[in-house]
Amino acid sequence: MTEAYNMLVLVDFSSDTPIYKQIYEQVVLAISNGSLMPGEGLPSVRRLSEDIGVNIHTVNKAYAVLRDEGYLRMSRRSGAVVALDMPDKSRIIPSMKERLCQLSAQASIHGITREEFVRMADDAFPDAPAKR
Amino acid sequence: MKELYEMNLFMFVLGETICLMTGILLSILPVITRKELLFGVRIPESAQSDPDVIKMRRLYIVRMSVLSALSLIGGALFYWIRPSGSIFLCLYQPLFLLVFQFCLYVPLWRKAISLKKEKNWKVSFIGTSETSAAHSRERLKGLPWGWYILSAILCIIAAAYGWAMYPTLPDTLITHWNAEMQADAWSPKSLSAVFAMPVIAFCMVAFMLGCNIVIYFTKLQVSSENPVLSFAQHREYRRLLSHMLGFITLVIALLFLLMMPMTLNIYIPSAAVMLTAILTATILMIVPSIWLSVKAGQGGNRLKLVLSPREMKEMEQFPSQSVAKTIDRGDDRLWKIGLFYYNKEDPSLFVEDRFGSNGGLNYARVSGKVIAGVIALLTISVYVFTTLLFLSEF
Repeated sequence: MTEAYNMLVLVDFSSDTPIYKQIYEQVVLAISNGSLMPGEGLPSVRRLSEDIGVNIHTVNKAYAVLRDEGYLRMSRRSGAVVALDMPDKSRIIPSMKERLCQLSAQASIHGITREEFVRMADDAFPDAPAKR
Repeated sequence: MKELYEMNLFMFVLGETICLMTGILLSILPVITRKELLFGVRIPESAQSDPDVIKMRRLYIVRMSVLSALSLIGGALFYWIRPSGSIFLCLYQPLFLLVFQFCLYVPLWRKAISLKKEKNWKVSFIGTSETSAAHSRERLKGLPWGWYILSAILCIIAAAYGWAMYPTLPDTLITHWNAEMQADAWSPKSLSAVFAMPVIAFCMVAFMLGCNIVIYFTKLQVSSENPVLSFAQHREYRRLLSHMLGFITLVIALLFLLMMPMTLNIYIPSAAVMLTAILTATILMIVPSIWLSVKAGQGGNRLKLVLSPREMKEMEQFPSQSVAKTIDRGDDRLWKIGLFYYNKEDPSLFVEDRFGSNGGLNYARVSGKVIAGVIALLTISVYVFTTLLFLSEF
């Protein structure tokens, strides 16, 4: 079997964002746009940290947060796997509202109008993942 | 005396062949190593056409090839004066080339660092992984098992052949021949003598399989400007390299197994046949390696590939997600003298070379240090032992 191209995890060492957070964000993005499909396996913590060249604990932390938030399942046999059913939206709404408060506050300070803000959110919203 | 002459001639030819191949490989290093690496220093792709960069690479190629040619001529002179010393050509000519290459490299590496600073070249410092490729790599998907299974089966057939022939063998077997293929040691027949060759061949097959698995776990040098293409190229390169290793495994297994009739004293080849077989096997092993490194380049960076639509899409997206370029030395500071990878954070043991060969290890890891130590010790002892052994005949 040939390897299908799947998803690129890219960590910027000169960024201010913590490395585990960068990995976390990219996995979430990949699930949303269908680069990672439900039930798909991710490389082991060790493999990923070797490829990127970071400490094992860093990748471990990213995987642990992803697991705690319900995006990944960890199984002893097949390692980290994208969850088949994603967590319920009621779980995420409170923290999302909080982050939106922060974002819209910044937007209004910088003179972004309500319409512009809504349009930006609309543009950023991912399309339904393409079936593979 | 004629046989001795043939032996020396063979050693001379072998030594010069190895020297020629090493010389070619070392001379074309700037061509086959990654474009974004200039003597172990990461530079932007846009700096490729910089006149200083072109000049540095040209300087290296010219000096290295002139020296390789001089070394070949020197080897021929040495053989002409002292034919009995031709074994030393095999041993010391490649070593000499490697030492000279290092001396040529270090100033160029220094110059590359200062050039990068002076021209203010900015390169991003990133770490990447391709998840599905990493996932299937750790499951060894696509490993060409066929070559290894075929070689292993040949070993088993040879062992069975030895077992079947055992009752018909004479009670005393010749166990050793001198360089001129005259018998000089005998011992009573035993199963261990019969099985020695298949067992050695089998161990070699296992060793080569281990090497191939290491390739699957080697950390890649990924272009920071085009990681998608880097991964695709490496995928194809790994496939070609694995098949080449499989082929070499088969050649090695055959070489050992073809000695079976000899160890069983059924057919004793002449010295000329033996030497031809060894020379043929050497060429069969070296020529594909050079061909692959020229065609594919290091890590497949010279391969022209057709990317899948998904990869094309990801590649187009890349500049937008591309990270801010830093003036920081980036991953250069993790590479001592631009050759030796030393990163305490990185759990990798095997890493792709930056320029030529440094053993491809992460020297910050204890296992990396141990492996490097063992290899160094083995090499030194082989040199000392062989030198002492042949000095008396010199």
